[in-house]
Amino acid sequence: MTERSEERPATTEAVSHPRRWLERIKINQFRSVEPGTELCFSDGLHVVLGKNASGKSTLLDLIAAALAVDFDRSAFHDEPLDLEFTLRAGDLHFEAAIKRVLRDANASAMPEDVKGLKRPLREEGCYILRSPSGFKVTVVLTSDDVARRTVEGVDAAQYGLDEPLGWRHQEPPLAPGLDGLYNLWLQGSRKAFGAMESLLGRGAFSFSLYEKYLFRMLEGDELLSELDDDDLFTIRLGKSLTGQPPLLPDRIFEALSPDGAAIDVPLALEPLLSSFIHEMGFTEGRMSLGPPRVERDFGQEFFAYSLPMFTFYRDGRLARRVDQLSYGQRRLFALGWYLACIRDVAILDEPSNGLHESWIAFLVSQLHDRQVFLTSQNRELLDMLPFRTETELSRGFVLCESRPQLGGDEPTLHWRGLREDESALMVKALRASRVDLITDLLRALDLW
Amino acid sequence: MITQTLRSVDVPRVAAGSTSRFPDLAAHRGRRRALNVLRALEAVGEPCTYRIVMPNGATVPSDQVTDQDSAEVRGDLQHLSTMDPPSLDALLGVLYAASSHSDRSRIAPALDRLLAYLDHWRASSPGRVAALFKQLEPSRLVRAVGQTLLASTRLAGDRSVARQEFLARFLEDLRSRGIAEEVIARLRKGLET
Repeated sequence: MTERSEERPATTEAVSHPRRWLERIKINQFRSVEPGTELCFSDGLHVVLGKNASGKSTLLDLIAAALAVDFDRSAFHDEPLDLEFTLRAGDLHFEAAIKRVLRDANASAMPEDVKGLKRPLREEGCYILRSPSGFKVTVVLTSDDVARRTVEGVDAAQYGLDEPLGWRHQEPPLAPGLDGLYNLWLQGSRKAFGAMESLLGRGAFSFSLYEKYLFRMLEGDELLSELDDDDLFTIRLGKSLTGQPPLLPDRIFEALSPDGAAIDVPLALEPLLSSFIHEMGFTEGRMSLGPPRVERDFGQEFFAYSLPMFTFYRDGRLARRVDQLSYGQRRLFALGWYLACIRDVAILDEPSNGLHESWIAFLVSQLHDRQVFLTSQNRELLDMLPFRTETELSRGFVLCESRPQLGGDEPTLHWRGLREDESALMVKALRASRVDLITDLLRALDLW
Repeated sequence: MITQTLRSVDVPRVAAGSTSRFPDLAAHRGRRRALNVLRALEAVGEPCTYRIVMPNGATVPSDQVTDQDSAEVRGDLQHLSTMDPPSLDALLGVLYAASSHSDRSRIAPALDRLLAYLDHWRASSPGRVAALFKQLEPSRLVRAVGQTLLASTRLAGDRSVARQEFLARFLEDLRSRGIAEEVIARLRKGLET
């Protein structure tokens, strides 16, 4: 990511862009999911409901991969995959069709990626970007023939796309993420850079290489352990090279200076995180990083910081180090850190585990202004969700069910949203009552 | 001498029935919580009263509290008693406690809980009803409990082995209590499916 910092405009300035969200996903083939399953979402809150082993976490994995446009993840390796999805950012649509089929065992030698690794699968991606003005770009990438590209409806001269488009992206073409698409177009044409940026909004669809690690909140407090991993968390500060790990909130990164000294920063720089720290019972939190290593890359030196230490204070006095927090405090801190790092979405698998009801209420209160997908078996959490309109309610649930098959075959996973009659009945019942809650009605309708 | 303090529960006034706006789910939750406290206190026989407040907690002047407020509280308490079936363990505890208490007026609410449990699970999860038959011990119950259970399941087409076995144990218990055989025979005829 450091090398890309040279190619792109400085990332430290405030960037305002419409938040991205997943509008639709259609699964034509994936494991035992019913082929043709199509789910439509709003840009708000969604609860994935179902019994154990009904595919809730699998769906969250698919959603996370779609939002990152990255299916080169362990959850999807060695499996056929055929799906379509649509991302939105403001008025911009991003449509994608991903298909991966198992390679014929008798086929010729497997292709190698840029690292020289044999890839056992073939993965194809078809991406379409559409802007309100009608601008449309279709890109088809295949693992066997990277050069195949299609451009439709583009006034090439206007957007500078008449220049040769060289494939200079660092990632292997077998994992054609949106980042690759971005670089495919933008690195290929300086002139196109400005045009695309003004068209899409700066940062609207730029993704960092490691953001995939963040898109789905890790179990328990594992995220804090990830911060101790040099590969995932190293801050690079230099005169012209900087590298922000995706596990570091923007506002904290922006406050760091490349002077080579040890770092001690208040976490209050990130107001969202600060509110979590107050909820944990402290008045202040700080992150410190010891003296950096001096490293060299692309001919330039920079300071590399890793292994952050977190400390928490009450009224100016040290109260706890991060390793002294209770499980619930670590869990809440990890959730706050995750939400501070990922601004557009939140994908949370059983977020209420280990949290007292009052902390669950606090967490729910922080889930606004982003697209949220969560699973939970906790009635308290589900009844706290702040649905405010009929549309939010009707689009707010995904029901997952595992249906056994005859002959001992693997059960089929059925995923669906609420039907119109079901959501209408729920709203009618809620209006008629003074005490009924969401979970009462879900159970009464035998939906949960 | 033990003196009990009269507890008061604030019950938020929540509007219902409006078709023009989406229900305030947080207000529902607040009222539900207050009424659950009220139910819990009543269940353990603790003297309590309630006070109507606004959804934001502001006090409603006493002269503005209407009979409608009281009727709605009663109605919602009744609603909650039927919509929230107890767990099997909790139900067994309620039935045994009511049966062993000297105050026989406690039997009626316990029977309400029993019927709520049956209503809720009979269709969606008959296994829970079968589990009730298996675990309930007639010797620890007043006759009305077993009789109500058997009578209320007689017309439901419940011919489960668990029910038949409970019926046999129930009648045997009556016999051990010295109930006349003709009465037992009449009960058997009335309670068999």
